Amino acid sequence: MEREIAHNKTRKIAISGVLTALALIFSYVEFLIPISIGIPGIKLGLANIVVVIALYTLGESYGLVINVARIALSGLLFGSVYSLMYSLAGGILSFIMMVLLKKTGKFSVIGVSMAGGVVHNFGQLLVSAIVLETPKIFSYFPVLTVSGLTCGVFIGIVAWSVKGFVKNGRD
Amino acid sequence: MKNVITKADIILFIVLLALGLGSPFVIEKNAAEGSVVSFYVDGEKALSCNLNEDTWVGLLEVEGQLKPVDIGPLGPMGLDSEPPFQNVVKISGGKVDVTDATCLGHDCVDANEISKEGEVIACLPHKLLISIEGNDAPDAVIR
Repeated sequence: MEREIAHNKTRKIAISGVLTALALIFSYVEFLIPISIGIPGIKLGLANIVVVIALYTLGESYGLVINVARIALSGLLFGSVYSLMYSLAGGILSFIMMVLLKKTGKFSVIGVSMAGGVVHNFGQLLVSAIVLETPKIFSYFPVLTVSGLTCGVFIGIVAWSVKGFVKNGRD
Repeated sequence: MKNVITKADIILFIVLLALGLGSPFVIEKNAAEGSVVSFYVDGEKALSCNLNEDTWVGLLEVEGQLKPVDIGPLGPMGLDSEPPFQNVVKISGGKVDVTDATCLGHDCVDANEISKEGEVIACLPHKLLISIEGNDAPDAVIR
């Protein structure tokens, strides 16, 4: 029995490492293909595919660690200290929201993921407003909300299609 | 297979979509076209320019603080000894554009030019916000 649990945990940790690396690759791809529609902060959020999959196959604590790790690493590698701060705010708020929605049991992966996308952008706007000390930056709210929503739906669909393939260490 | 989408998903989607599409109407705006370009640093209005008067504005570091300064229609080229500007903003033809900056991400430079009331350009590392406002109308109010 003990050996089984240890095997599970080791497996989970190993999978977490792989998923984090995968999330970094997604971030890098996004970094290489800049979306220049002139509104800063619009991203596809591809790395969230990994976070959502982790949340559903490995659980909340693993999902959180993977999320924070990939934000920290990609922020340091591909961004600046500032972008790290905003990503972290958006990423953590969005993760909390996703966990809450998932716990209600009333939403599917797609619902959870689209809420995550919207909250992620909202979190970044919030931090921006605090840094700039003005709410005027919320002028970007409509565009970022709609794009966060659409990307979230897309990410949810991908995550749902793929998560069956991640052989997890869970019972 | 779309059996996976729940009723709650759909309701949430509609709510969020309505939020995103409806919010421009909630953010109260003056009906007239804005004509004032306001520069905010650290949340305080530091400079106002007329949107319809062509000029350049540079963000300068003065005594440890960042200040936007009107550098006139000749722009940074019109100065003999060019001080290093943290941001260079061009106001021309009723449009505002950030043409250069010393910040890392250059989000402000990449951002589209703005010309309508309520539109903003921000340089977060420099805590700079440029927004177009009406004359004496209240600033954007979110009800």
